[in-house]
Amino acid sequence: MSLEPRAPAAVEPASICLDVLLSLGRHGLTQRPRRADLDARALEMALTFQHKGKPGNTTLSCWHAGPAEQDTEIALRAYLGMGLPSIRWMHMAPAGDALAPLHEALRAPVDADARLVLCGMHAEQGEGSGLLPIALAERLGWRWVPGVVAIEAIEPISSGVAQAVVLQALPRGQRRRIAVRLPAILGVEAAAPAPRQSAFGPARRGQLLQLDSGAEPPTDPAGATWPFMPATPRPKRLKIVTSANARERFKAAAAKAESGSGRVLEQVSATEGATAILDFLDAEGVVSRAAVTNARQGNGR
Amino acid sequence: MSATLFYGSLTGLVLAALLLALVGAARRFLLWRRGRPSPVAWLGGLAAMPRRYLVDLHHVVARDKAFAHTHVATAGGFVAAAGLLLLVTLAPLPAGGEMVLTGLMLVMSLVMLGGARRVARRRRRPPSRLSRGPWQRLPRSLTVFAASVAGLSLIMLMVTWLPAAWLTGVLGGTLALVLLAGLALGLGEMFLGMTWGGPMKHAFAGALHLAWHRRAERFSTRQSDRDGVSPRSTGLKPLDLDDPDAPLGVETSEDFTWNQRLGFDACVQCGRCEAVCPAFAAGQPLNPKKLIQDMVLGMTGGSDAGFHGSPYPGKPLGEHRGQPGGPMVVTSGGALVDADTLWSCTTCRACVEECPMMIEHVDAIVDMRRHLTLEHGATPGKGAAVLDNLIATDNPGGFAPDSRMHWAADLNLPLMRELGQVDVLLWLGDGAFDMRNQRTLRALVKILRASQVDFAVLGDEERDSGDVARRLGDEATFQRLARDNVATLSRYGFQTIVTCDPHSFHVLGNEYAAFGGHYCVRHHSTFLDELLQQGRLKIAPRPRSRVTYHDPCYLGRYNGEFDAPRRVLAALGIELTEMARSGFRSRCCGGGGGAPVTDIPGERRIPDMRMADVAEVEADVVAVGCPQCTAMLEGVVDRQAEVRDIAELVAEALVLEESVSEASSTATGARRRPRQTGHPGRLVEEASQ
Ligand code: SF4
Ligand code: SF4
Repeated sequence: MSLEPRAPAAVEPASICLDVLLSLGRHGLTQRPRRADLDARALEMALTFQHKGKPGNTTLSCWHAGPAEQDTEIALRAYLGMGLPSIRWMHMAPAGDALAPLHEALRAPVDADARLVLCGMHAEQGEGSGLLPIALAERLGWRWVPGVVAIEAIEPISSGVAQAVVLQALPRGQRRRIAVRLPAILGVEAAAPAPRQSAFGPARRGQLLQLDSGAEPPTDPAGATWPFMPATPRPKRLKIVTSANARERFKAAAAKAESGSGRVLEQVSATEGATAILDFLDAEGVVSRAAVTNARQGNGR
Repeated sequence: MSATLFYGSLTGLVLAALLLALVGAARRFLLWRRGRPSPVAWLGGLAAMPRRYLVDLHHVVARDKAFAHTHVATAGGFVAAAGLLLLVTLAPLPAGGEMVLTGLMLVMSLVMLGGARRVARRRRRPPSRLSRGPWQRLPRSLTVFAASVAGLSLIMLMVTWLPAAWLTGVLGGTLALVLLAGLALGLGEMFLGMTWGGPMKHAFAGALHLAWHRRAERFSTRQSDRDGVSPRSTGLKPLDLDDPDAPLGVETSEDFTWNQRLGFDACVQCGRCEAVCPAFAAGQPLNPKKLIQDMVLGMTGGSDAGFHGSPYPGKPLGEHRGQPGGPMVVTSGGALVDADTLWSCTTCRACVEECPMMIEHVDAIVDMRRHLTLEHGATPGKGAAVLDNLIATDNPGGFAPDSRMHWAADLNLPLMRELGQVDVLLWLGDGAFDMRNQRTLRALVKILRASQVDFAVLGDEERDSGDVARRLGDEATFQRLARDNVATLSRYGFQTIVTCDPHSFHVLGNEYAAFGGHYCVRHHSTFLDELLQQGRLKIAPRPRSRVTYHDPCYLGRYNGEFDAPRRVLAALGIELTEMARSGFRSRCCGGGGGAPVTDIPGERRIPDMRMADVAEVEADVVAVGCPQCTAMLEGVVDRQAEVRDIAELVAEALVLEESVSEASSTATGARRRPRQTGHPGRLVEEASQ
């Protein structure tokens, strides 16, 4: 399925504030510090959006929370090389949890009509669980959209409220266009456009604004005891097709996985959709019947 | 016309032309000086200028014998006649002396007249590499000047013999008037045009460019003649990365050094560079001659509609304009030069080698590339990926650095880390990751073992030399690689570095000196030649039919090594069939300067044209000495000739002595049978005979 390109928003909010969260990446073979691929794609998306819109309309700030180490500086400078004037770098202990300082930084109200935070779906280092943006969104009470591959528009819907129209990646190259009420955090997918080349000049000139993250953020005691090892790609189960015929083998390799069960709901109300999902989760034993009922009552109040 | 009036107007004309020319010269000089500083030996350069003109410049011009004579007659005649004219008209001389000088002036202007007529004949049907426009007018101006000076000299000689009334008569008066008018026209072109931007500008700027050239070391001196060396200066100049205020490459014309700007003005638009440029011939949007004229527009401003030569292929004239202080390249178009023009260049130096005015095209192109890469991150094609790989893995392919020696797993190669001190350090280059080049490397190792050379390799400690990074404009990555390699090399003792990669050869030998690396580097062909001459290499000559040799740019033009590979091939009993373009005129394979990485489209492919050269001499084998050339030429579809590295040809003819073959049996014993290689359907005999 391909979506018609969407015309850019006729009206843009007078001021848009984009924040990008950047983390340290490492090369898979040499472990040399560099940009984290997904975060670099998030930054690319922000830069492209800023460039596309009315000049001066969009302010962009980039954040990193991490220890003051040389490797981090190398990686951050690689982001600066994409043409950033500065990155705010909140120093914290290596085992610190970035959630608190980032929450602190983003919580501060900004003078903008629309607010959007971008980051990669998960970090390359540390746990890399991808939970940070979700936890951050929860704490801030903002919306969270995973799997974003493009920001199409940011437009006002009523006074003081704006929405972003974004493309979300689905399996097999499918795309879904969704509108999300701002403020929101967008998790950027590997299918988003590749980041631009990092250039030496802007990387050297750009400023790393060192911020003290105030109170020492809580460390994660459990995490400190975990053994860390390099991730390896999960091996894919191969479907062995024993056919002498190359065409058959090719067809088998390229075939779409059959989705046996499942139900497609189209043109249903939000409540019906939510009920269907909850029923499914209940049937799978993911949530208990009681929680479902509670949630329903909570909704009713 | 009375004699006083005649002499008065003659003197007045010459004096006025001289003064105006001097004003123009001063303005032009100040225009050049708006570039960045570059220290020169002011007086020493001027003193060396005549020699540089007569020896080095003439060496280039003399490749076209007929035109060289024309130029000597015209330019020599002009310089002498103009000098005498100044003396005779402006200097107080005794009457006898004046007569002698006037006689000389007559002779010289006649010589010039002869030359001017030959220039005119060449201009009747000019080849496409020559510019038209004002350049078509030049032979006429030369003729008018020479004829007027000759006529005036004649009058001055005759006034002593003829009755005084002659000049005041109608006939004499008209003649004098006509000649004076001719002189005025001639002086306009020859004196004013020189410093105010006419075609004759090349003479004025060219002379000063010779004197204050940015690469003074490229000219011969009496010392170099005595030592019998032909000096070269081909390494790129490093950028100062420690000074945050120094520009990273060239953004505006003012970022060129002042003597580079002077050099652009020296261009005589002879189009010799255009005729040899492989990118131009391939229909890629580059013409080195036009590029230099664009650099002039960058200094003076104005549209390129005034250019009267061949445009960049596919880019009509009149769409680009220069502006002093403005950007030279805008990636999205609209400025003076489009980025794809710069990225089409293979840095083959054919243009520099051919340029009679000693202009350095490659320096200018790389300077502008540096700005694009270092400031805008705008390296096209696969450039960004290659640079990222070099940054992260020290090789352009992004392979694991510890897999560099996998190709030699069975060869048991001695490692520098274990030996510490050897005679020869074998530099593998990134060809170690390339299956085709691995065959060359194996052949080379076999030869070194057979000749009992004491050698070792760096193994995983070796990094890319930085050649591609530097030509792609990423000076920062180049300098990092250079410093790291120099640091590694400084830990070990060796006499010579031998490599089968001319790019590494050039960079290690010519470009590492700026980072404290001074080495004696040999290309493998040179080293094999030495082994043969010392009798350390036993080969059984095997005459082959129809072999030709392709000179790699980075071995030949960059390093002047044309003979050693030919001597090695001759020792193999091969009688070479030379291609029309060989030696210093060799046509590039298209693999240099990161051109395969940036991959700017053209109408043809450069390697196809080179293989067509090979086909033209009906060769079955083209001998090469470079992994890039091998890859480019082997990549040509439907090629008729086999591409073999010199090392492979030598290894095939090797006579192994018993003791040696025993010693190296680990290397060769396992592979006695012909073996299928990566090329489908082609059996390649490996190593053993
Ligand atoms: S170096 Fe070679 S490709 Fe580049 S402009 Fe000169 S002749 Fe053309
Ligand atoms: S750059 Fe040199 S070779 Fe090319 S046209 Fe000018 S003078 Fe001739």
